[in-house]
Amino acid sequence: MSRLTRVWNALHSGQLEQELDDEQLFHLESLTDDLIHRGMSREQAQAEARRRFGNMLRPREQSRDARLHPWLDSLLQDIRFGARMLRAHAVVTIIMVTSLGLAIGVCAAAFSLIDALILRPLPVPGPEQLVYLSYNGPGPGGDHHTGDNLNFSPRTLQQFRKQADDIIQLFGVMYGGPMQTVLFDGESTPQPIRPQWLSPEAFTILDLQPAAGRLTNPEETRPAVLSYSFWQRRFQGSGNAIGQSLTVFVRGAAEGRFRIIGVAPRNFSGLEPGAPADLWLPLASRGGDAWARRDDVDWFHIRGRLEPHISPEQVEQKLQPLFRQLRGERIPELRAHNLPSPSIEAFRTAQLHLRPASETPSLLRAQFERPLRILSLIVALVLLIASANVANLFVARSTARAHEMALRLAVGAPRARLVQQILLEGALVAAAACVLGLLLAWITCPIIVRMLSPADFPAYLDVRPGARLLAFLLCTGVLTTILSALVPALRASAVSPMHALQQPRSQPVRRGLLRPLVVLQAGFSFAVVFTAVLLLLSFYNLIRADLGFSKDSVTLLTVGSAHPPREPEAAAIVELLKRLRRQPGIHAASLSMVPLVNPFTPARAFVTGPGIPKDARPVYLGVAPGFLETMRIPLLTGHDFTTDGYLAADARSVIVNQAFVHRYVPSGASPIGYSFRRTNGGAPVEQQIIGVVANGRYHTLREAQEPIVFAAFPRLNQSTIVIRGALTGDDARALLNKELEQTQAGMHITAVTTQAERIDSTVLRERLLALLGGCFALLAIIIAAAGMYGMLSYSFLQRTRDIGIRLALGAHRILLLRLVLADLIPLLAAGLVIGLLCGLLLSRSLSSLLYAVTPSDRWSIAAAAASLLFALLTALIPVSRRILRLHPMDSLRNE
Amino acid sequence: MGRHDALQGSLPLLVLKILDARGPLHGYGLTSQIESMSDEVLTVEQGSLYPALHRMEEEGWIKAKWVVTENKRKARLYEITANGRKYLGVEEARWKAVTSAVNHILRHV
Repeated sequence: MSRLTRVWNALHSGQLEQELDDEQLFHLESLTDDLIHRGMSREQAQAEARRRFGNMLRPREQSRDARLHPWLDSLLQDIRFGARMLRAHAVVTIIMVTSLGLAIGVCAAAFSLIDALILRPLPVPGPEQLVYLSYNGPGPGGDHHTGDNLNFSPRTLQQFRKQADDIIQLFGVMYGGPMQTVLFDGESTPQPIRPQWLSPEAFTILDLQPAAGRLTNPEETRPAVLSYSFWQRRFQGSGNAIGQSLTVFVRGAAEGRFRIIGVAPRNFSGLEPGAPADLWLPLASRGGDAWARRDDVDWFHIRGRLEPHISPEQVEQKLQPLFRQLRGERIPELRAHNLPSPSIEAFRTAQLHLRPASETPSLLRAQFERPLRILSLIVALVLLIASANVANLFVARSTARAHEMALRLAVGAPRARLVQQILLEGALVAAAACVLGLLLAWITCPIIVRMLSPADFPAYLDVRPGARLLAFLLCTGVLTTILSALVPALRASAVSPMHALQQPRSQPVRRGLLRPLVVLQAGFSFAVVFTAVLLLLSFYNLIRADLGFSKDSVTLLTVGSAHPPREPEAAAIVELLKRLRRQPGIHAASLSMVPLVNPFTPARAFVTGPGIPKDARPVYLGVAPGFLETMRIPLLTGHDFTTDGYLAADARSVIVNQAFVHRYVPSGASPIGYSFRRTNGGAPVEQQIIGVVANGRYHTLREAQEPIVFAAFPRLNQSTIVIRGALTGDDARALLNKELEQTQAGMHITAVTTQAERIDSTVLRERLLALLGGCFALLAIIIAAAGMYGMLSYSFLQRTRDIGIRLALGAHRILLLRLVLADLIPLLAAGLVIGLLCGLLLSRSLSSLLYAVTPSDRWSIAAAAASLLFALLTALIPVSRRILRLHPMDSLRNE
Repeated sequence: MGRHDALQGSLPLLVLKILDARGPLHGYGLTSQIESMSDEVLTVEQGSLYPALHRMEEEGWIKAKWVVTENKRKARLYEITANGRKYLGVEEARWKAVTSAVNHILRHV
């Protein structure tokens, strides 16, 4: 019989036993027949046969062992027995599986996200050889990056390539920013698309194989490569796509016509997680050879593949002198920007770094890496709480099963077998919880990813369950099994066989382990709830903050054009706005360069003047007349831009906010008429304040006190038309398109959104944190309540006799609750202390994500304590009911 | 197995030999054969027979199948395999060598 049949026999041990029985029976009957044949009576023969046959069990066990793997057999027996035990205590089992499953589910979801965002390498051959280039220090615009600066000029890339060709293959990449549009030949409506620009040799360096067509074609001057998912979406994966032509519009302006030469492989969606491309275009298409030599536009990220056995440091050493030289050559440009000299020095001495591509700081990552890490910490705490809970319930149950354990030991079962028994039950619970968790992660992950991404820039993260998630779940399952069942197993198996002889009731209820578990549970729950309350408060403060303008019923429409606009645009804008204001459903209309609350792309300018510090760079917002009225921004003094001034291209008049006046205008002087100069490259522009508006959150929700300058902005193409009124969505788009046709042919609306959505998209991270934090807190409270309930019931069981006697002596029932609580209260107090320490540690690392809440907010601490109290009261209800119903005689009779 | 020392180690040999010579037999048949052929000198307790048979089956020397006998009983018939014959050859030779050596000593001491 082969190994396999032994496994088969183990799995079908019932059948095997039947066979062994049959064979013995046949033997016995044949022997009896023979004996009768030899002259015995039937009764005599049967007795004699049985006597000769001897012990039927021992040979059967030996045969059994010969015909199957004994360990496998015992394992399966224990699993069957364990499953039976779990079924027998269905309620407890459901509590264990659900709480653990929820905890594992959130763990799995967090892992999927972190894996997709941070851990998983780029799906290209040899991902560990890929690096990205960065430097510390300011960019040429003087933008004070706090960390790494990734932007390089085309000339830098060109020079780096020449210098280090032998040790690294470099290529440039440029992101398309928000949604752009594409017009396929033969169609009339442009469609949204996310383009990326790459050095043509990038695909070769990345070593990617096309899914269709080819990825490079030297003969094609303007080649375009589609992403696999876009190819599927737009062309249903048809080969006809290859060779088609299309026109790409960037911020509404035609970028050029391209021909599709191929499709990238399926798993390659871009160089960064969360920033997928639909279309790759050659870098050179943004301006040809002349552009490739330019040094004043820092729009590139540089990536590269190290040659074998070359370290990043070697490349850094080889490139650093050249980098410094190139930066030195740009000092005049910086002086023109009027940059203060420390900044210029920092610019010149910037240090070049090569880092593994797996650490690339993408936008999504910069925003979410830290929150996700914190969330995963919280999630780990939730898992610990849930494991402690299961452990608690196992301990509780094993106390009740001490009699069974003692009995098994008494009849000769090895202790290891008892440990195996409980561990297996733990594993069964963990396995069921893992399945539940996988389902949960599978459902929630895509929802979370959708929540992470702003409406106008959908992020794509591959969070489909895969081998990595399964491996993670397996590890989690093993870990939770050990956490929740090992100690109870060891304890339960440590009973003395003597207990089997005693009354089960007289077992000592040992709570040695219950106690620390309850402390930990209370502590972790407190920490989780505290953190969640901080996040919730923070989010609430952020969305309820006074904006300084009215966001309701404001629709934003972005204008794009395939052709150069008709000059002068100001006249067209004034005409368009006049016509719009006459339309029913529109109360007010105006235009701005970018919508309000746009924290990621601030347009700042250096300003100089009496009383203005040298590094002052207020945010500039370009608007048309009527913008203040449309957004309901209160004008404190002075007046709005005049239509006449706007038409005359008056670049001098500006409107500032109070913060600007407060910071820069000398006190005592009237702000109206105050003059300063804008010095953003080129010739300085004289500015004069014509009006002052109240402070508001015009630039970012988090800051209301920032100096802001509103300037007249006479350009329609790529601007945002702002309308206030009942007209929204596609109706607004249709109307605007019709009006544009009449005033500015060739222009069309490329995107429609509302001011409220715009603002919402800037608090996605806070919303996610608040929502998930809240869910985890709820979960933690539920689990903690279950844990406390377990503790209370065992206190009650242990003290039933005590309580009964006191009842009989006339004690008040409510006072008796004290007896039961007496065990729990000190534990909760200890848990509170641990939880406070944990929570303060957590919240300190959160502080950069909080808004208008201190990391040690008293109300949050109180709320967390209150929630624990709530959990305690909930847990107390069933126990107090039992006390109230307890009859003194019953409790004594049970003894 | 204290009581069956006479058969210690030689039960598989006897079983294989009998199965080889007489063809397929069930467990009870094997005991009867061993007992009658040895004039009841060798008795086989079922307590050693079946575990031994199952181990031999596990080793691949014999194979078993279920049949229904003429008096409508389910019986498990054992049959020697090619492997079993090979093993039988080796074991028989070894047994003969050992017994002749033992006999030699008994005779000449």
